[in-house]
Amino acid sequence: MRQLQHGDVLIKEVKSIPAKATKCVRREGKIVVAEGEATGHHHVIASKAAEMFFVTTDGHRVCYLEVIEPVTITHEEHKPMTIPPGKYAVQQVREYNYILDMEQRVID
Amino acid sequence: MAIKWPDGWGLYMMNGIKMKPEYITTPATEISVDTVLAERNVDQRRELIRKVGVSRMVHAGKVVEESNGYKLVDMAPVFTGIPYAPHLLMKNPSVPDTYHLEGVAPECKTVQQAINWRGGDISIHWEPESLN
Repeated sequence: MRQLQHGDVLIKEVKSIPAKATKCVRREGKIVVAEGEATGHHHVIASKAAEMFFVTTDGHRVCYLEVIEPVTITHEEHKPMTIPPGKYAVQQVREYNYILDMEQRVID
Repeated sequence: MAIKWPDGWGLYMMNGIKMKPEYITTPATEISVDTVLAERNVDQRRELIRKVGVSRMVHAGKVVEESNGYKLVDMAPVFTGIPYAPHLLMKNPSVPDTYHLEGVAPECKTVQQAINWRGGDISIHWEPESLN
């Protein structure tokens, strides 16, 4: 299965997207795949050839991407990357915080 | 301060990243390694590493393994009462000459295990065909 990584965003190919998944609303016509909480920088797909979905289970949100034609994901600090057609789960890199003794997702 | 308004409010920035004022006003030699590792935001941490120097960060720990441009560094000497605190040192593929140093779980003993763990599962090989 295809593995892609754009900064702290992990894009993992999956066989299917859950039928109960809800389509995400575009922002100014663009898919915001992940938001930079401190910098305001976003991982964005502008193309209409992809849609993002989410499923919330026990308060935990899992996001998916369905890509019909090759699309480009962009970010202010990362080189653009092409995502081939397919279905993907979107996750975020995690790290371990030894001061708090807990794992946490990477934030930028 | 990168920009300052007449009322005194302003922004402290490093290479386009908004920083805490003390990160700018404190000389690099006076910023401790644990201060860098305690910074929650990875972009700010990256800029702090650029400021204090990656070699100083690595010298504060002990290199466990080096592979494919990555270093697994045990930063336990920086912390109190923690016997093993692996961190993965990696070059930023998009921003030239910058590095990230991110903690990984204590069960990570190799660079690949650390990469896998960051990708969500220590037992699943994570090797993206595209990494930007």
